[in-house]
Amino acid sequence: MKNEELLEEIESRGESEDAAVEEEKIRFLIARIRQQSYAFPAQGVREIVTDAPIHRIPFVPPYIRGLIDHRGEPHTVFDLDILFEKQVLDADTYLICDLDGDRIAFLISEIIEIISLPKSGIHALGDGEDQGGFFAGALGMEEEEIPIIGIPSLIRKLSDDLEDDLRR
Amino acid sequence: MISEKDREKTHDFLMIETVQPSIIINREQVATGLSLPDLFPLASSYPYLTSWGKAGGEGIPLFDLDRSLEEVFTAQGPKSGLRVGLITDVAHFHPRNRNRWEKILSNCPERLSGDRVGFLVDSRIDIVEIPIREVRPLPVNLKPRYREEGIIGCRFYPPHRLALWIDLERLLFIQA
Repeated sequence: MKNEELLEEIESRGESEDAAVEEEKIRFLIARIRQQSYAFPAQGVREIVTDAPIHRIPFVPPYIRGLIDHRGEPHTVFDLDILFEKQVLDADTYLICDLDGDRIAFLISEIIEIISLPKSGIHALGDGEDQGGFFAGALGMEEEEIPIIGIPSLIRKLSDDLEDDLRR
Repeated sequence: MISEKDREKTHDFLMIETVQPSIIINREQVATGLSLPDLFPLASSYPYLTSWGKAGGEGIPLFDLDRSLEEVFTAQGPKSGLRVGLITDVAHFHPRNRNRWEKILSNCPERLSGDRVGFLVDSRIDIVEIPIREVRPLPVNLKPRYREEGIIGCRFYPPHRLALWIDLERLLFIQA
């Protein structure tokens, strides 16, 4: 087999067998919001920024604190503490996310760490632990159960709330 | 790739500085600005279409933009003490809106111009030349709701301020 043929053969096989058996890993950013830790899928997170002033805007539900200017682009600021705990978070750190061109910033107290976990490390939340349907499961870390933020669910929630507000 | 020339491309906007957010309006939507010392009540069933003024020998229906900004957008600015009508040409409206406007006017008992509509303001207005790159679309998650209020974009400007870009034609038919 000539080198070109051999190379083609190797490339057509795709990943090596060793790689194929290795379980796919998912990266998460673990962030603290007040005292609670949450896991954000790292895929959609672009940056972490601090000290961006929030511009209040009309027509939005209370858990949307307003817009921040990140590199000239407006990002909608979610305060998950209002949504989950009904209290306003006093913080100035944002997780900047870009999901299919949609621009979002999550207000957080601090970043704890970035981790990679196999899919098998993710489990469903217990009954009644996700009444709003905002989580995409949970992961266990040092005996702590950390809910995984379901970003698409939060965007759907916002869309529904904005539509409801319009109907009223 | 955006060329240096395109990066510096600018456009004229009218800017109403309010407590926050401020408001910007595409200058091209406004044909002229008229001082309107005398206003007359307009019998209409539309909450912000409540007066008319005289200009060039005809009556011009007036949309109370100031009140709309205060009540709907909670945007309140320093008053100039001078009531100005930002006059728009109905001929520039979308054909569907021209018909709607005709119907709205036909329900008013007063004989008013069907060619022009004024947007009444007594907040301070400035004409500002803004680099187009600074005017941004809203995030996708807010866009549909904001379009329903006549807001089509925004601009951040120093020091740490936000202006919402409103479309007068949309606003007229949403809130008239």
